[in-house]
Amino acid sequence: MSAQSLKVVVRWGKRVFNVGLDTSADLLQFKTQLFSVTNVPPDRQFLLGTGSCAGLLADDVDLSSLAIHANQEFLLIGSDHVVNLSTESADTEMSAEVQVGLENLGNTCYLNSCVQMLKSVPELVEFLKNYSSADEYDPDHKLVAQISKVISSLVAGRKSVYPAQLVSQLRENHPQFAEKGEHGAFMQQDAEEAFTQLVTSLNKRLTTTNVSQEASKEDEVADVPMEGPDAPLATDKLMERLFGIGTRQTMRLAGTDDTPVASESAETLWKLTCHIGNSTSQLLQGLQESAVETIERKDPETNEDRVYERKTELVRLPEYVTVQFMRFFWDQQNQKKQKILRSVRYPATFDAAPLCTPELQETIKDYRRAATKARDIMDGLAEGTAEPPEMPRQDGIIVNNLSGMYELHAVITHKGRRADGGHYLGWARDAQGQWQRYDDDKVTPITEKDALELHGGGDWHTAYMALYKAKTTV
Amino acid sequence: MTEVTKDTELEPIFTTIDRLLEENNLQDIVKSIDQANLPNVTLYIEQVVDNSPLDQRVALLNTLRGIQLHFGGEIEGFLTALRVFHLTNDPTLVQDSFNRVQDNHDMLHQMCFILAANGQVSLAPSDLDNVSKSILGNRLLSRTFNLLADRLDLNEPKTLEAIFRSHDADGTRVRPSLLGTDTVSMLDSLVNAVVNAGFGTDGLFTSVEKRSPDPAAHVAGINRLVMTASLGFIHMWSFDEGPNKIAPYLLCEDNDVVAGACLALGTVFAGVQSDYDVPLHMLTPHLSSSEERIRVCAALGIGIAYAGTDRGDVVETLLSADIQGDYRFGAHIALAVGLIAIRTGNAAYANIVIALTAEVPAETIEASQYTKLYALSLALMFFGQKDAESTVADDLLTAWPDKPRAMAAALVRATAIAGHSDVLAHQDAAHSLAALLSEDRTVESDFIKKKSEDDANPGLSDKPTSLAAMFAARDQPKSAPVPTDEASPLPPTLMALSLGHLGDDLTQPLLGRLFDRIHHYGTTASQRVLPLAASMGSLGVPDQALAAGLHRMAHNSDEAASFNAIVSLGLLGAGTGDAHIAQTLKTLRKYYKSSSVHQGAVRLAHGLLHAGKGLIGVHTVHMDKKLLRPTAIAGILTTALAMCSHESFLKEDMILFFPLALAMTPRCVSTVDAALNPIGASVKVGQKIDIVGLAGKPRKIAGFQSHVSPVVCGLDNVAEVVEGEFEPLTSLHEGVLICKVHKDVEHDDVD
Repeated sequence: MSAQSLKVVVRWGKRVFNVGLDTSADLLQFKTQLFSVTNVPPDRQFLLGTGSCAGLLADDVDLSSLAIHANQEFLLIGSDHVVNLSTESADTEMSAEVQVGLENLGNTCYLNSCVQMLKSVPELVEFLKNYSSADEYDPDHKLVAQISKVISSLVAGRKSVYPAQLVSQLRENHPQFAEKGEHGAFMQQDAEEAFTQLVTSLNKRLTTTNVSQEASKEDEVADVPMEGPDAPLATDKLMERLFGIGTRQTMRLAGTDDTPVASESAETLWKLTCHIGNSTSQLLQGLQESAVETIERKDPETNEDRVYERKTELVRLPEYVTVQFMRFFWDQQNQKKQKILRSVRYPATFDAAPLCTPELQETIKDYRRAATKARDIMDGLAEGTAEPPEMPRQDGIIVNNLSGMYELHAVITHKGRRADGGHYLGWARDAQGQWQRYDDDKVTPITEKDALELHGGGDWHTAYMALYKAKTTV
Repeated sequence: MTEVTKDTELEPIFTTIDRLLEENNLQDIVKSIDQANLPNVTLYIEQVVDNSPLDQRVALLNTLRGIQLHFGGEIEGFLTALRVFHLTNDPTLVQDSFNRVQDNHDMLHQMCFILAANGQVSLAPSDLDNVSKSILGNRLLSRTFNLLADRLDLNEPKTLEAIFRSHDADGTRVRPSLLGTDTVSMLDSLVNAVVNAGFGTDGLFTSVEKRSPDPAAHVAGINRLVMTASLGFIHMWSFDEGPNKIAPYLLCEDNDVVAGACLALGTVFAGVQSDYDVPLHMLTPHLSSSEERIRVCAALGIGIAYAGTDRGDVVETLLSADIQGDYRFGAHIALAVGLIAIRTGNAAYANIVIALTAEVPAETIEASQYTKLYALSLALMFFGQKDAESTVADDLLTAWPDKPRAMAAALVRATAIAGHSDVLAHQDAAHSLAALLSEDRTVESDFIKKKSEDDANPGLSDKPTSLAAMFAARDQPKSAPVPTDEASPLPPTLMALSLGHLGDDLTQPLLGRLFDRIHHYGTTASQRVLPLAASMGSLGVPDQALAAGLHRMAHNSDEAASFNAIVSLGLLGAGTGDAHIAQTLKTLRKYYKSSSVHQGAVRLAHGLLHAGKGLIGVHTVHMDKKLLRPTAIAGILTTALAMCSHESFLKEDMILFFPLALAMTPRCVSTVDAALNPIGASVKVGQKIDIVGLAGKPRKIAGFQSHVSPVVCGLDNVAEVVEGEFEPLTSLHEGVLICKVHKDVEHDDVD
C-alpha cells in the first residue's frame, strides 16, 4: 500500500474541511479528528461517503477496504446540540445561583443593561460593598446607595433582583427618565444617558479617601515621579481613576499639520465616541474619525473666518475605557431619533496606541519593548536578564495603561430600529471571566465569539456601548 | 401554398390562422410569420389550444412547438413539449427539447430550472453535467429564497405572538402560547413551522438556549412527534445546514422525537436532491425500527424527499422493508412509492403495492382510513393516464371489495384527468357524483332515523338522576356526527371535478355554481369534502367568491366540515396574506371561541395564509397556470384525503400534513447570470393583460411596480425584466430567469 494518510474533503453544512484520513486506523479516530474541528462529538456524527463508499459509514467499517482515494468527498451530518426532553432543567437552576438578572419593570432594560455593565467591574463592586455615608439627604448618595444595594444582591445571586427603588430614585434625580408615552407607560430611554448619570453620581460619592485614607497617604510619601505619564493622579475620585480618559485637545488650521498650535486644552472624558460614517466598518476607524473635528472660528488678528481642526489625543489610558457607538442621530426631516444599523466591528483585543499623543505613544513603545524582551527571556528565546516593566498603579488601580492594550469586557446592545423603543441587553464577563448574556432577568452563558457578533448590520442586537479593560501583557 | 402567402397580405394574420384551422392546415402559417408578428401568433394559437376539444389539442400544440422552434424559441418549445407530455404521457418531445440544447448551456440550465420548479425531475436526461444536476435538484432554491428574505429584511423569526397579534386588536385575548389543549398546541407548532418555513430560524426551536428543555419536551405522543417534525418545514430546502439541525433529534431516545425527526428530514428535502442521498441513507435504518411510528414516518419521509424522481433504488429499498402485516406501514410505503414513481405508469410497482394488501381481511380494507393511501399510490403512478381507471378497477384490484375498489378507481380517474379540462370527463365525474350523493342520502337518513330511535329509547328508561348526570347529558353534542365512510368514492369524485380544471380560469365560475349546490343540498359526507375540493382548484389565487363560499361552509354544524372549510381558507390564500381572508378568519375565531378544535383550525389557516412570512405559496400549477406540478398535486391530494378522515387526522394522521411541503414553492421571480450568480435586474411586477388580437406591441402588464429582483410575485401576477442592462433568455415570467448581461450598457455607464 502507498501512503496510509490521505487528504480527503469533508463537508459539514456550508463549510468544507481538508482532513488527513489514516486508512489503517478505525473510523472512530477519523471522527475524533472531525470532532476537533467541528465540535460535533464522535457519537453524534453521521458520516456519508460518495463514490466507492457511498452511504452511511458504520463505526466498525474497515477503512482500508473502501478504496478511498485522495480528495474523496465525505459529508458530515450532526451538531453538538443535545435535545433535552426533561421539563425541569437542573442546569439553569445551577447557573441561576451564580448569575442572576434584573426584572424588567416596564421599559427599564436600558437601566438593567447599565447596571450589569457596572457590575462587571470588580474594583467598583468591591468598593461599593463598604459604601456608607452620613450625608443621607444628598440625592446622589441615595442613588449610589441604591446602586450598591442592587449590585450586592446581584452578586449574592439566588433569584432575580427587582430594582424598583433604584428606578424610582433615578427618576427622582433625573426626571427625563420618567417620561411617559401616550398610553401612560414609561418610555424606553437611552442606555448611554443612563450610564453617564450613574457614573456621574458614583463619581461624586465615591472617593478613595473614604476607604483607604491611610493607604493613599503612604502613596503620597512614596517616591514616585510627579510628572510624566505614570505620575499619580491628583484626584481621589474612584470613578475618575477607573474610567477617566485623559485627553489633550489641540487646534490647528485645517489641512496643515505643521502650523503652530492655535490653542491647547486638557479634558477628562468618560467615554470615547465612535463616529459611524458611510464607510466606517471598524472601531478604531470610527474612533479616529471622532478624534478630529473641524471648527470654524474667527481669527483674532485678521478678523476672518478660518477653519480649524481640533484634534483629541489621549494622554492617560485608564483601566477601563468606555466606548459609545454613535448609532442614534436626530433626523431633522422626520423629527425622530433614528438609528444607524451599519455594521461596525470591534476587536476582542484593542490597541489604543494610535489614539494617543506622540509622547504617550513613545512611552507605550518603550513599555512594550521591555515587556516583549522580558517575555522572550522567560521563554528562553533571548538571553540576558530583564524584569518585566512595572505598570504604574495607585491604590491598586492602574494610573496609566502603558501597554496600550485592552480586551473586551462588556457590551450594551440595542435591538430595534427606533431609539425610543427596542430592547437593551447587557453582555459582560462575570467574575470568573466567563461571558454572560443579561436579558433582563434571563441570564445565559455565551462565548466571547457571541459577544463579538453584535457588530450590527441587521436587526440583531447591535452594540451601542462597549467596555474595554486594560491588559497588562502585550 | 402560394395562395396562403398572397392572402396574408390582404387579411390580418388572425383571420389567416382561423382559416387554416378550418382547413386543418395550421402548419402552413409558418410562412406568414415574421419576428414582428410572432408573439401575437403564438399567443393566439395558445388561446385556440385552450379552447379546443381535447383530441385536437395535441396536434395544435405540436404545430405551435414547430413555430416556436422555427424561430429559435427553445424554451417556449420546451414548455409546449411539457404540455404535450401532460396530455399524451409521451416524453419524446421533452427529450427532443433537451437534445436540441445539448451544447447550449444557458438554455439547458433554464430548462432545468423549469423542470425543477415543476417537480418531474425524472424527465431530464440522466447524463447531465453537475451544474445542471444541482439546478435540477433544486439546490439553488434555498439560496434564492434566503436572498429574497434578505432583501426584504424578513430574517427575524416570526413568533406565534406576532402571528396572532392581529387577533388581539379587538380586545379579546388569545393565549398565544403553546399552552392550549393538545390539539391546539400541535396545530400551533405547525403554524410556527409553516410561517417560518424555509428560513431556518423560528420563534420556538431556534430561540431555545442550549441547555434548556426542548419545546417538544412539554408535549407528548403525536403532539411531540408533529412538533419535532415541524422542524422540517423550518429548514425546508436547506440541504446543507438542515440535516445538521435535525440530526440531534434523530439521536434522541424518545421514539416520538425520532419519528418526528425522520419526517422532518424528508420534509427538508422536499423537491431537493443532494449528491449524498442524505434522506435515503439516514432514514433507511429506521424503516426496520420496531416502533410503528418511526417506520411509518421514515417511509413517508423518504417518499417526500424523492417525490418525482422515479428512483428505482429508492423504491426498491422501500419495497424490501418488512411490512409484517402492518396495514398502516404498508399504506405509507405505498404512498411513498406512488410519490416517487409519480406519473410513470409502472405496472410492476403497482402490482407490488397491491400485493401489500393481499393478506389483509376485506373488512380492514373497507373500514381502514389507510386504504385511501394504497389507492392514492396507484392514482399517482397512473397520473394523467386516461385508460388507467379500468386497468386498476378490472385487473389490479380484483381482490378488493367493491366499495374500496370503486374509490380507488375514482381516485385514479381524478388524477388521470387532472388539468385536462375535458368536458366529457367532467360530465362523467358529475354523473357518478350525482349517483353517489343520492346513495349517500339514503344511508345518512337511515343513520339519523336509527340514531333518533336509539336516543328516544334510553331517554325514557333511565332519566338522569343526579345534577352531575344532567350536566353531562347537556354537555353532550345534540347529535353524534355522521360516521366517516372510509371507502366512499365520494371524496375522490368531488376532487376530480376540481382537479380536472386546474389552471383553467374559464370553468371556475361554473364549478363555483356546482359546489354551491352541493353546499346547500349535499349530504354531510359531501359537505366535509366540499371545501377541500373547492379550494384545490384555485390554490394561490384567493378568489373572493370562493372565499365567501368557504366562509359559509365554515359555519357548518358538522365539526369535520367546518374544520376543513377553515383550513381550506388558509390553503386557498396560502402565502398571499390576503386581507379579506384574514378578516374572515378573525370573525371565525370569535365565532368558535369555545371550540378548541376550530380555534386550532383558524390558527392553522392563519399560519398558511402567511406561509413563509408571505414568501411561500401552495401552487399546483405554474408557468402562467399552463403547466401542472404533479408532485405538488400529489402533496395537496394526500393532505386533503387525510383531512377527509377528520378524527384520525387530528391524531396520528397529522403526519399526512407534511406532504404539503411538496406543493410549497417560493412566490418569487429571481434573475441569475450565465454563471448562475444572482443579479439584481429591474423587474416590473403587475397583473397580466390578455393581449391576444391587440394591434401592434401592446403592454403586457397593468398596474405594475418596478423592483429590483429577486421580487415577490404571486400566481396571479407576472414579472417582466425591464429592457436595458439585462436581457432574459426567454419570454418567461416566472421562477428563475437566466439573463444575458449587455456589456454595452455597462460601458455607457462608465462613459
